[in-house]
Amino acid sequence: MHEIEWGLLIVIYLFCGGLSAGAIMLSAAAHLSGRTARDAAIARAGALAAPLPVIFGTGLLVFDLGRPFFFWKLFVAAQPLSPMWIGSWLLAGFSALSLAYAYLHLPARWQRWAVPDRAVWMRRLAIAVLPFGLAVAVYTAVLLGVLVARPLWNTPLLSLLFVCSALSSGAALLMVLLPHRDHGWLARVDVVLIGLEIVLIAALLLYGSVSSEAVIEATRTLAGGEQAAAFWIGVVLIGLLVPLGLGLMGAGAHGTALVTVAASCVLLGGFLLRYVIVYAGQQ
Amino acid sequence: MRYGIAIDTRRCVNCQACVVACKAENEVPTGRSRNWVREQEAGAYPSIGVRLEPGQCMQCDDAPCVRVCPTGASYKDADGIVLVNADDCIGCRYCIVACPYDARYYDDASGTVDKCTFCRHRVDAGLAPACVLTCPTKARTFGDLDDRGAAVTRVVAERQGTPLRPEAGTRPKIFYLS
Repeated sequence: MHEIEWGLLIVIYLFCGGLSAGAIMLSAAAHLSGRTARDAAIARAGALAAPLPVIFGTGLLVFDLGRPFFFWKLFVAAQPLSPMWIGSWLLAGFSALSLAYAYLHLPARWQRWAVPDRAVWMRRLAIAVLPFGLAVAVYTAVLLGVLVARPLWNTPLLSLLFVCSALSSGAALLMVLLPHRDHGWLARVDVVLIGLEIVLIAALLLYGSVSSEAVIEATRTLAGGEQAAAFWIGVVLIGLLVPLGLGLMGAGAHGTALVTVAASCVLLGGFLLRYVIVYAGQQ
Repeated sequence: MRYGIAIDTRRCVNCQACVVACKAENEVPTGRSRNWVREQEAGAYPSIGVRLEPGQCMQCDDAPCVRVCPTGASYKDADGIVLVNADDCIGCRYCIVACPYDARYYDDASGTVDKCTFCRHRVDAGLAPACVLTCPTKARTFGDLDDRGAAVTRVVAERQGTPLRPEAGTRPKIFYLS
């Protein structure tokens, strides 16, 4: 049993980073390819929601440091091989871009500085935030995934899983924020993403039962150890199977409440997924 | 120079003198330790036994702690010793999570990470690290692995010393003789 070096604050940060990344990617997709008023509503909600979680999460990350007031040392060093160094710049860039993108989506009366060619800049920023959002979502997994010392994390499957989960949580967040009539394709997209997540988790468990001894042992801490209850009940049942069932049943037809339940399950599951991975990986 | 240590597990009697000597020499905070003796079951019934495995930072040539450090506080010096420059350490603890050997610890008082330095200050003065010098059974042999005539190089070659967890691919400079 090892000491847990990276605890709850890191878990919240990973979840928040993914949430912002997912929300902004969905927003940009809606803005760039959408035609309808619903798409515009999704684009706006995603744009306005995106900066908050990532900035909050980054704040927690700084607070989690042993010497928070020296966080600036991240930005004066040149450590291009360190995922955290890359991630620091990525988060800074993403936060700035997401703020600018959100500003353009504010109602006109709140835009104190008028932006010439607003529609053009909206489009440009929507294009810019897509790769940044993907990079942030991938980074939250790569931070863990590069470590050979942590066999549970040390697989590219983790990046795929975190990206799907980021998009899924982002969609769930937008469904909580938007009135039901504006949900449009969000529910359908979320069902597909949840399906992908289930496949990826199955692949992770399969890989964890046939790979090297270290990987098998690490997977056992996830699926059969201290985190087993949180994993099977929290992540798999509540976070994936319940919202998948509700989505396939067409919960939307039965009113707002069931949709909100499904979306809340997805958000809780997304958080718990990071929790069990981060903790089990260190045990 | 490439400093390394050969550890003869058959000589270790788990007296913990190396642990105490290190704590005293390096003023390691209470509750933390830069080295240890782990008991490992070895073999299978009926020829089963306990292998005593003293350990510390493996001073990896390809050290993941150095690679992942976002500020460059963790570094490998000219003699291959992995060190932490506390001035640049911000206490993110990425290196602790990255270490396959759990060799690093977080110091609550300073908010920084610390670890075995191979007693760099003693080596500079021409002395062996405290854990090496203090061992009553002489389980540890310290020296320059680049020097073919050095005792450590000879004993690693003769007794086919192997590192722990070679599959981690970090090329440790602590070799175990058994």
